[in-house]
Amino acid sequence: MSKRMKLFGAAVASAAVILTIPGSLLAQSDGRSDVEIWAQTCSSCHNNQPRSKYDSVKWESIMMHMQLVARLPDSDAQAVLRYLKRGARSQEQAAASDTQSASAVDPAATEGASPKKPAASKSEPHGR
Amino acid sequence: MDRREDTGVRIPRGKQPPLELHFASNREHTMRIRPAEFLAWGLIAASVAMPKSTAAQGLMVSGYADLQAVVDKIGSDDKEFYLDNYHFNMLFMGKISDNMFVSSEVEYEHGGEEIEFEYGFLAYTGIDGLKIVAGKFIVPFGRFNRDLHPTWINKMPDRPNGFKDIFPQTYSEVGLWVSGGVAAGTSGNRFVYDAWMINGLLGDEGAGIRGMRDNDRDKLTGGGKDDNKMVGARVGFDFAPAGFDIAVSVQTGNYLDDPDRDLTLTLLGADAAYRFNDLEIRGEIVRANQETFTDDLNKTGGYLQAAYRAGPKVEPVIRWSARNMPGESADQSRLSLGLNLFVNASSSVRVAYHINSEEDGFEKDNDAFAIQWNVVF
Repeated sequence: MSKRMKLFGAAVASAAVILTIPGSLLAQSDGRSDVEIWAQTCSSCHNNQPRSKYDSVKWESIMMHMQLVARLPDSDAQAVLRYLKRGARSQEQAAASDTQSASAVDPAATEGASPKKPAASKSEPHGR
Repeated sequence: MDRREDTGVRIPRGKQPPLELHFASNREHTMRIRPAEFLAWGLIAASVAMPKSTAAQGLMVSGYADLQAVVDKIGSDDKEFYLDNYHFNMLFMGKISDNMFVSSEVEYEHGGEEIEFEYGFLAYTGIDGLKIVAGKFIVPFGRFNRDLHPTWINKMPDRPNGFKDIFPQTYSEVGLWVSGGVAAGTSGNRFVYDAWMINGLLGDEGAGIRGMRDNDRDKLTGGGKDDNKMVGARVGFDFAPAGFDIAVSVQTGNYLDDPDRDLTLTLLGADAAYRFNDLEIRGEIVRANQETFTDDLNKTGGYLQAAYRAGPKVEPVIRWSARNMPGESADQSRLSLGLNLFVNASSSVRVAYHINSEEDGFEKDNDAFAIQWNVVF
């Protein structure tokens, strides 16, 4: 086996070992709210998009992609998705406003956001 | 992403020869269609015609676009002013089932001079902490290449100068990729990892790394044998509550386009970011060790960037980027001063002045100015 393949095998094996560690040893319920998890993760890379920009079905697709990109544990990804879906526009709104701007102000922008958390301190349309 | 031949015509990297469709009735009428272009327009047409039942599955079209104006080589006799529709990239993604999704991006760059797939993959997400990706994906080495390069995310109108030549940006390749994050302790800290095996970079002995993308089996000069796979990994820790993350990356493999001989290229990188309230500081460094049949070549590139969100609509940015190459004449550094003005959450205008420095000294007055309007949709 080449050195490169050994390296790749070691990386995969390391990941497998970590995954076998019981979750209870690594993760504890920390009481963070959905909006706090959203503010903590999404804004570390990009501007937070208004929740009303997409409907719930599209947010599900986006979150599957973003969980991969951000390497989020399932629990955090689910918390972010819950928060996004609570402010998502309805299918009826989506159909009615296909020709309108998607950058409408999110009516739920300030939901439960701690003013000391990154990005959540700003109104959502301009959040980082 | 492109290169110029002596004719001055832009030749996109890795572009396939166009297909020539001849009509039997009149062979003078020849349509020249590139496969990627054909595919891109097919996807766009399909998305427009997407039935509601398909949309209900979560299949969707998104993307980002920008227009920029650049003044290059300010102060020199060779000054150039040009407009560039650098990106109009379309993303197609969809949840196929509870545990699977597909995602792809069609690059439409430089006003259509470059059209190709940036990525297109199938992902399995059924295991917590382990995502499995197969297909063509953006290589997750460091942060800028995969996460930060889209213009609506990148805090400058362009990539870090020099750094992009050591780890080629934006670099996507066909292969297998596993990735994930595992919560550690409380408050959102997590261990993150990526491991991948790809076709790898391919080129001649001692060639520039940026030109080694697009490892296309059909274009091999060594007789069509393509077993020069590269493997890589990135491991890091995200101290999310503290706003700090750090990781190291490695990628290694044979890069030589020759079925009988091997030369190894190894890339080592480190990246880190720190966010405190409205201030963000991030940096990356990558070092390449490139074997040749005589001496090894060592190349280093990196950047350091700070951005401060001074208000809901204003963000000044400063970035230093550089490369250190074999032979001082190829060394470069750039100090960039930028200002971002946010139109809304989905759009911004970025302005930057670049102060360039080259050891060779053949272009003393090669500063540059760029202004860009971008949007994510």
